[in-house]
Amino acid sequence: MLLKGLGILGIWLLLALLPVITQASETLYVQSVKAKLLSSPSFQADTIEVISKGAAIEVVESQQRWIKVNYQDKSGWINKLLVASKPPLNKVTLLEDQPVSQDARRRASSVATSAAARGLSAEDRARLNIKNEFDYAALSQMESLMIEESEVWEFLNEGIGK
Amino acid sequence: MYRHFMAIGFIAMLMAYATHSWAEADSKFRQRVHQQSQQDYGENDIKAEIRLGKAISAKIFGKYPRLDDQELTRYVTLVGMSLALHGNRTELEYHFAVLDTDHVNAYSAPGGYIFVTKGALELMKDEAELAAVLAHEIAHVTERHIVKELGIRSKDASTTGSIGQLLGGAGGSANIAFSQVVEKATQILFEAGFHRQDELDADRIGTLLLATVGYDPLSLQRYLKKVHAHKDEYAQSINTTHPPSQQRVEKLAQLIQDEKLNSGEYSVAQLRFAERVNFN
Repeated sequence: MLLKGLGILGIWLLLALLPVITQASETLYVQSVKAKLLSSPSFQADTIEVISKGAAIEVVESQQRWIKVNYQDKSGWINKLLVASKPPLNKVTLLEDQPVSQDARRRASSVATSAAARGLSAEDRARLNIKNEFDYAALSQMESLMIEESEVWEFLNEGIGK
Repeated sequence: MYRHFMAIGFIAMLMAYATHSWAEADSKFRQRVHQQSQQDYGENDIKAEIRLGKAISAKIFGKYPRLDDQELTRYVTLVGMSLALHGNRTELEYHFAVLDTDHVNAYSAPGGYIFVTKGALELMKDEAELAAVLAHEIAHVTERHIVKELGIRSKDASTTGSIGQLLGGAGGSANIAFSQVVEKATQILFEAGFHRQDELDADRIGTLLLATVGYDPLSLQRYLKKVHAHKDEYAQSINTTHPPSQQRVEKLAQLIQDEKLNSGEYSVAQLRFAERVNFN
């Protein structure tokens, strides 16, 4: 009778333990566009797989700057800087929030138009530029240079052979 | 009786295992809290951050003019984007510019705006050193140092005191708040500097980012030593807003040793740099 009671108690204890056991296995998400799954916790280790942004990985071991993870049927190491506890966000821009009509664009000066189109309202600029300390034309020129991601990868491959 | 002991022993073993598992899970949790990005900010916070970054950037250009050299800017942008794609905040659109001044420095504004001076470029000898300076600035952005430094909570746009709420409103008080935040941020960039720990973190993360991409991870340390040795008035600009170079170099030496970064195959891309960066 006593043994039966203890057995039931043991089962209850096991059930109570389940959340703790499952908590130890943690899911993280790749934040960088690409992340290397490496054979050991070292930048010079062999690459097992290149994992894409947003992929879910299961943490099996944690060191100061590296984590050992399971990804699909493979296991390897990833630098902690490249992962986080939530899935990564898509690109965030201000463009959709502050639409500028085509008519308004034609009327406004080119500098004002560019700044407004890129998310700073006329009110923002007016309130800040009382002392003429702000150069929004330069900001607009800075933002106008857009480079395709494919060109960046090409540039990297040419320059550092990766 | 023997069976009773067996059962009690089994339960004792379970309890010991439970204690161990809990301690291990707790330890892992503590490690996570301190070493991984917590992403305690949402899309509205990021939009507010970008808006703040635009205003700060316009003010940076108000102090130092933008160098109008398309080819050079394109090259700096390609190096910067190579790093940013490997960073942990790929939701941002990064922008890069060269500032037309002989002062040796680099700046970043929230939301992904990165600046390097002509004076700094002239002091560099290869692409890895350029990447090092940009990686340090990108780290300030990814770690949201200015946003945190300004004491603005960023948990959620609906939370009182969040950056979204402070900067997203309309009317007189919002205008004043926005102006004050921009003023304080530029004061950090040009005068007070970041907290010492933020600078050291940006050095550490920047160096790890270099290694991740394949650039020589010793290049930031090498560049800092060069700035330290460069005693003219233009190099002093960086010393007034950053911790002493010697301390930064020592901290990096420890990281380099820990991660064994002084061995292995990395690139400095010296030829490409020499072709693209030439002020003579």
